[in-house]
Amino acid sequence: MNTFIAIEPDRCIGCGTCLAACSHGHRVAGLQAEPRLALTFAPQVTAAVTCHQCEGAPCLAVCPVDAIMRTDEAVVVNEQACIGCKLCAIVCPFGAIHPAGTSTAGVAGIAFETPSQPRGTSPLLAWSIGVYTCAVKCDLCSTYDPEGGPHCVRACPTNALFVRDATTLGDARKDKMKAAATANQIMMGRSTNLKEA
Amino acid sequence: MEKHMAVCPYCGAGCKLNLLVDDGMVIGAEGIDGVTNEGELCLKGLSGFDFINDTKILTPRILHPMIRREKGGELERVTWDEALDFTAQRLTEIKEKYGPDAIMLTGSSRGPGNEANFVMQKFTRACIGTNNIDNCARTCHGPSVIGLMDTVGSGAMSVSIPNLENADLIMLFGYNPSASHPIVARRIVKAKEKGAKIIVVDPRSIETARIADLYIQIKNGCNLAFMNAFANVIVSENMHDKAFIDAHTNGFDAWWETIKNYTPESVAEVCGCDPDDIRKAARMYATAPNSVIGWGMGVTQQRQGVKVVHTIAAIACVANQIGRDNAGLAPVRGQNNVQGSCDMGMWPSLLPGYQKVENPEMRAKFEKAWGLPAGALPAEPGFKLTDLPHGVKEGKIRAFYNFGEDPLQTEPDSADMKETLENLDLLISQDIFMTQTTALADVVFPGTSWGEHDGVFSASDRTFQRFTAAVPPKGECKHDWQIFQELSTRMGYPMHYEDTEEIWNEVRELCPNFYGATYEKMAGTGHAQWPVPTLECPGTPTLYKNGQFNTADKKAILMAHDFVEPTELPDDAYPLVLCTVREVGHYSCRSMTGNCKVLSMLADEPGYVHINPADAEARNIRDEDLVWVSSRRGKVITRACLDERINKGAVYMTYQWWIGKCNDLTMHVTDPLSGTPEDKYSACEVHSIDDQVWAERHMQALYSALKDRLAAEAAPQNVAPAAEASAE
Repeated sequence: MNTFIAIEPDRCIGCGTCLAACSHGHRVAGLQAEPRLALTFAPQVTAAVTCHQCEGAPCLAVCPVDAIMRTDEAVVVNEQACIGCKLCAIVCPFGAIHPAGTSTAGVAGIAFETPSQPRGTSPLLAWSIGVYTCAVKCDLCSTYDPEGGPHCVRACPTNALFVRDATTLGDARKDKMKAAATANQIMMGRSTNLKEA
Repeated sequence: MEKHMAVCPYCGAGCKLNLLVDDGMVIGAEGIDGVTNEGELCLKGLSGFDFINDTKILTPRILHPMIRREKGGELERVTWDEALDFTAQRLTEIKEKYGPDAIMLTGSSRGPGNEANFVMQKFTRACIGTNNIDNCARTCHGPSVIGLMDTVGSGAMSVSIPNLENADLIMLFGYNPSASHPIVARRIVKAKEKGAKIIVVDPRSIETARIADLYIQIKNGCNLAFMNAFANVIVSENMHDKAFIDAHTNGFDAWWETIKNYTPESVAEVCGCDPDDIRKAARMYATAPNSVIGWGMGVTQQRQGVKVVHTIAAIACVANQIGRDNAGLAPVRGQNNVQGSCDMGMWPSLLPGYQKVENPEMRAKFEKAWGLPAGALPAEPGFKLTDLPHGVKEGKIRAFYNFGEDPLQTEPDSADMKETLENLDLLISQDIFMTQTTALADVVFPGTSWGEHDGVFSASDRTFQRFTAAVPPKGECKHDWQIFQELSTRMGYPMHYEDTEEIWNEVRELCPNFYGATYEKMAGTGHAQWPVPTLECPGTPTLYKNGQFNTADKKAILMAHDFVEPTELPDDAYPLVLCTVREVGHYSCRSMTGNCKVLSMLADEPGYVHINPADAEARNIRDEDLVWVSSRRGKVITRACLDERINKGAVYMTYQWWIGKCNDLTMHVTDPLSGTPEDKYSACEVHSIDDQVWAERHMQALYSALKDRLAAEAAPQNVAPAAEASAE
């Protein structure tokens, strides 16, 4: 099955340590420094939105140059092959893929950007002079640190992020079924003196 | 690759980490098992290391001493000898002409550590002969230090950060740990998972509000009214602990005379909340087995900051929610070593170890230890940091020695502060970066950075921990304490320390509460939480056990005050309340984090003004638009974030931005009891900008111009001094 990263929103404090770890890891590996996950703040929920590494990945299906491929670990983008067409970003149902590029204005701290559009412009339409963009998406850090596992999961100070793979999902399902069974028993008006194992 | 143990330099949590060094460059950081962080780090700890390498992303590091021979002239790189001689001569002239009290100094609560600060205050008191030394606590938790010393005796957290997770109830009042101290927020998440009840009282629905059992959205500026009513409920509903009050407090009857007038109904309008919610909160707090109140700048940067701290302390006492491991007071400190600055006597009325300058016995002890004649140490408390603007205007302060702070960024009303700094006869800035303040200095001393020196920090919960150098000093940077001792020696009071341990041992000898905190005890991930009076004592995580307060008769003093509205209320011209808050990924004036690759990429100029969608719509402002924010003090460009989590009628700006600079808008009005500015409340208006592309380019142009100006100010350091060149 596909392995992906899930979040427990009640643990998320919106601090962005996941973004920092993602950016640092990829940048040091020579990949785009743009974080692969995004923090989303709704009135009642704060959560990092991550790629689900879908079984039937639409991003992979629509890529016209086969720059997106499935490896044993994840659905990954070949940044060199990507032509920045943004089709993958349009079809992603989670908003988990978007274009990014490295600005030449940022070299050696002499940044002087010349914005051409308001910041509110959709990232799919935004461009900046001389910057070639390519798609960035979560690779579970498998392209540069397969042993270490996803850096965001490791870095999260409240342990709000989890790797969901066949084992952990199976366990989670069992826990949910147990909880449902207990709730059912309570609903039926039965009480129990049994302590939790 | 080498690993060097350090303590994170970014907030008061005191997280232990290793700096990873390769080929003389710091290339990473990893959490280690410190008492507070248990191996975890937030984004600043994890990614906030590369400023040491002089990345020049925001502003260059200062690597050589420079002076401005004439006021308004160009900076010129000189040898250390010349820079120190020049400074010693100028300071001596000012001291002779206007007296020692014409010189004001500020300590650094950031990277330098306790030893450097101790030597600086020794230089101030023993060599210059003034108590004009303060630190940035004045702008942040000063009211907590003062308010707690007035009531319970010690100006610090009474509980430890690790014990927060075992409390039965945590109430956060004007404190957003997720942004200020993610590693403390982590303890609150854990407390919740262990079954603690959480109450959040704040105008913003902060992250913790989402997991709170009770969230009360209050209006800005109503703190004292709310807390008085909260106290009123505890006593009216008979939830106070009469035996504890009788045995361990003074002044209950007088306290109640004021508090009894504040029924929840009487404050409902001022607070903008349901009176029953106040009752519910008070019941939860008073009846839980162990409750902690945590507060932050939402309490202290207000007109009545000290008075609210008095009331919070009184509430904890009357409800007997103090003096136990999981019950007490938690004013969590902002800067990594702001507790340390206060510990080291960077305070106009306190010698190191909270020993009052007004006490002749204390002065005599220090005079003896420092080889001074009897009566040499000044007895009068000195100026506060916030006295600087009027002190200079009135001609009382002539010279200012700025150590590792950037008042032009962090103090209110920047235009007024700039005039203040320009009107000084002598401005000395000892820093690691060319900040906006350093760019105005007549003398620029390059100190070593965190990561280049050893020392001890005090975490927010009174925990002393050691940090070590990872890389050698860059350029001609000297350790801060070396600079002070060389200057002091030139000015007639010789000091000759060999290393930080020698300094620390002097601190231990002079401060009974710190005596047991030896370097040996603090080796590795070791720590010592004061009071730690003996070598055997492992430290004291909890203050006031068994109701023993640190006052003269061991009893807490209950103090109550009447509520007064904030100074500058919104009106037709400026209808919105401006409240300044913190950026989670940046720190203080941003000179450090702004020079880190990851942190500067995740959040950069001009920052955001958070505005309720209803207020934005009324002004035709869309999310991510650049906007003008104006007040009676100034006007800045920033970016709008439409935020449903904040109250209508108020906007929030983080104080880290140099272009979107909220301190161009705030006003220099202070709480008279502490001198702390009312940063959480002033009036402003937000205006839309029609041409967004122009606005984006204008903002970039302002930002580039600022960076260029600072780089140009630092550039003379690249030219070796003529004298040295000819000697070679």
